[in-house]
Amino acid sequence: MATPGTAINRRYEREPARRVFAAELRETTYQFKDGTDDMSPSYILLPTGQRCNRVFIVGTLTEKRRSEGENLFYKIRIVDPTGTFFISAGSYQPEALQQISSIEPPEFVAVIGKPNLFESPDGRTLVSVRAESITKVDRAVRDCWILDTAERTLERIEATEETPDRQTAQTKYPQNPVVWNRIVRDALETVEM
Amino acid sequence: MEPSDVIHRISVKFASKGHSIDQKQLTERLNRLTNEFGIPLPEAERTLVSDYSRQFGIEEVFSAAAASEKGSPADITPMAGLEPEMWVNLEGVVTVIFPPRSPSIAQSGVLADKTGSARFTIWARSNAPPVEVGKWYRFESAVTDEYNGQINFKVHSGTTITPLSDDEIPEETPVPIKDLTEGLCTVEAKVTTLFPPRSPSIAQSGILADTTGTVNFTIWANAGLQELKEGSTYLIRHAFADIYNGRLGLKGQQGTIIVPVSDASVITTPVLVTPIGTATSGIVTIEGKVVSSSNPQTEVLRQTGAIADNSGAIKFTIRTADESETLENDTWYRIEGAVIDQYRGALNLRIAKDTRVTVIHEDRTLEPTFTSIAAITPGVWCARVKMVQEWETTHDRMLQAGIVGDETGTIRFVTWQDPMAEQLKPDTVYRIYWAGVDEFNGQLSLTLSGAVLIEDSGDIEVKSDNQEISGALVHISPGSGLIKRCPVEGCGRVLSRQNFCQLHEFQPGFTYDLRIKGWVDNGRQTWDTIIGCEVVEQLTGMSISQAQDMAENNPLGPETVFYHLYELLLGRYFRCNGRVIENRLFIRSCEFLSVSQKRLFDLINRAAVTDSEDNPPSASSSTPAPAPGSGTPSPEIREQIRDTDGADAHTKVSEHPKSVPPPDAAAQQGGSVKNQPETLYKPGNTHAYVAEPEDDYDTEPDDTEYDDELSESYQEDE
Repeated sequence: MATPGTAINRRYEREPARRVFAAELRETTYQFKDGTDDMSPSYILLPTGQRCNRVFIVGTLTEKRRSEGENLFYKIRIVDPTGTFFISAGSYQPEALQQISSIEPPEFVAVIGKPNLFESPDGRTLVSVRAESITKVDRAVRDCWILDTAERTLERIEATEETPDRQTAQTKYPQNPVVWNRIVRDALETVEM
Repeated sequence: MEPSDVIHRISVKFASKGHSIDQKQLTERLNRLTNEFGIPLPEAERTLVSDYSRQFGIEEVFSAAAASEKGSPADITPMAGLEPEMWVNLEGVVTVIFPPRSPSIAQSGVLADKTGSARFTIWARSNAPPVEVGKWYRFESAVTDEYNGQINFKVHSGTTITPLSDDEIPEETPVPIKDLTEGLCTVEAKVTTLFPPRSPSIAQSGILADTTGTVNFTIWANAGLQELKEGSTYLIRHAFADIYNGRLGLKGQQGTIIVPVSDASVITTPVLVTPIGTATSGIVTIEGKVVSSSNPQTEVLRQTGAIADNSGAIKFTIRTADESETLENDTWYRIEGAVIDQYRGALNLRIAKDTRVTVIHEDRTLEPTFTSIAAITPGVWCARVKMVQEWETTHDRMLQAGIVGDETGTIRFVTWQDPMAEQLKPDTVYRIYWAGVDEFNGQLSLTLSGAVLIEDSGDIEVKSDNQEISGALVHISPGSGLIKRCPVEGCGRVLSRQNFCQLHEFQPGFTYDLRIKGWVDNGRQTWDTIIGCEVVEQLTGMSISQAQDMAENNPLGPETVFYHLYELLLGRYFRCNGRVIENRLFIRSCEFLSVSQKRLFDLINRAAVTDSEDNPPSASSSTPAPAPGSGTPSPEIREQIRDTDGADAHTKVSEHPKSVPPPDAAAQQGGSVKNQPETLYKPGNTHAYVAEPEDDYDTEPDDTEYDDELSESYQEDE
């Protein structure tokens, strides 16, 4: 198998898919590239100071809309206890597209995708996630996700190390990262044992 | 808001447009969304309205109706009992008034009683008399509302506001600090710490303690209260306790009354000696032996160490500013009126200026008890362990880091640079006396600096290095599913579609295998993962021969198996056991993860007791603490920013166009800012999609896709 000689020793490290509640993702307004060339990965910076180029979301698919026109794509809404995720999948995400077309709302779904910021015509910044994959799951997975996301979010809130990303987040986001504490608690309280 | 209200509202809405909706079906759909799928009621309503609108081909006009009909509640509702969309009578003290944010608002602020507090808005049109901070009022016929999960209430033209007479104002008795709850309260406590000034709006902040516990306090500059002195005891009446940053804090504000307590010894110096092993936050008297002492990493501290009796051990700190005498190692002391506080999950005893320390000369013995690694929690412990792994140090100040373990488990350790510090030798057993254990990012860490280490000739069979991880399967790579392997003895390479082995060429006599190659991910760390046939069979309930049938009887062949695995396993949570070899996790056993009640409760507690910046900088012995008042606004300042967030919606549009929340949020904010009481509640928004840039989806280059391609080229087959 031919691999480029320069890259043989380069170990591929996949970026973790970040766990983030809809309420936090929705407040994200800053996006940047790590590097200067076209191939440099693009990140969004979450208000809690975590850079992120992939997210893992589990919630309830409440609505899906198919594009009208030549390019087939879907836009869906996924709801978690804190708010709504706006998700899309187009022909560049054939697996996700195929999955979405066979799932009818309401249904619990798991989505892995890339977040992107868009500016609406009236100048507002919106976050949308391009789905790489979407699968039908059950409530148990949704509950696991809430705990997982709560824990990761708390870790971000509690972190004391002053990383450059965290410093940037402090300048980009006026709200205190700990406002997410209450959101985490509210989300956890929706989990029924 | 009740489900029946929503059903009624939706039916009326569509009836007015000439469409009738089957009530039973509507009820079922709503129940399904809210009960089965846990969708919040407003979002469920939005979903259904949107759906019916599309079904009927009509433009969505979404607006929630006004609060239910006006009732005439005669009783006073306690603040803690408020629910959205109630007509209520309230009594309380105005604790804050915010600057008016819109001409339609006369005043807004916070009203508190003993049970809690709520924000209020007095509409300009209500022509109500202005209220003052620190005064008690009765509000009759106010209407409650919910914004961002918090209850608030509105004063409109039908609301009556009456100031309470002196004998109507409730009298309060002091509450032990451990029993404090949100709302107005009175405490009798000693100021054990004052924090350096952080902001012009805060007169003083620090820690109050009584024998039952400690609490952080803040006195607002505009409260005009007398200055508190460190070490003095006060009766603080009508202070306001609220939860900020997950912790209960006490606020002194206008209306609070502070009286110095002269004979404070009863409250602040317990006579009874508390065994160290049972001590909790608060002011205590203990007797113990100084078992370790280390040089503080920061100039703020004069001495840190650990003190033990036969019931347990605790960390102690002496601050430079307190000018207390340092303690001698191996000496017994009686320490009266010291303050125990919690930092990073571990208790810490602070010997302050006015703590009475006396040497105990009588001869006492201290019997150290060893604790198993599995039982260790943040604190100070003795353990018998073997060094099993040494890591590269990640910090200049680190002498050594790695993993030690015993029969019950393993724990990471760190030794900081120190002339006294010694290195552990790999595979050697040590008896460790009184080492500090911190918790950071959910991981325990044993600090060996300052602890006594004695080499032990015995051996320990350390619990296996089997890695247990949990996470979600976030990617299933090509090469997963039913694959064909080269049958040549000792080869087993994966064959191409054409049954070609890289070494042994065409092999029509291949053998089948079933596996998953993919990525398991816990949100912080990812594992390149291989799940073998047996585990895949067990997880999916599909045997390899069934997979073979599936592949042979479907036009898509093995791809059918791939998609079957994809649908069954992708996006699921697993707990896996396996070995990591060259960064790849080979899974031995695996099960679907389910929610554990303990983890849920732990997280709920953690969300409520997160360490805040209010922690004194001195409490950590192993990590440099952030300096207070540095750079960023203080928590209280930011709290104010947060408090007025909704209020500032208009200003934010002009000043930070990028920080305005997306449509749903904006709609809610608009709802609470602009609308009159008749349409207070306005969740959801129908323009969310309109605002998304539809054209960009398929034309935009994907910058980050390359890493996946890279991953493919490096994922060689075994």
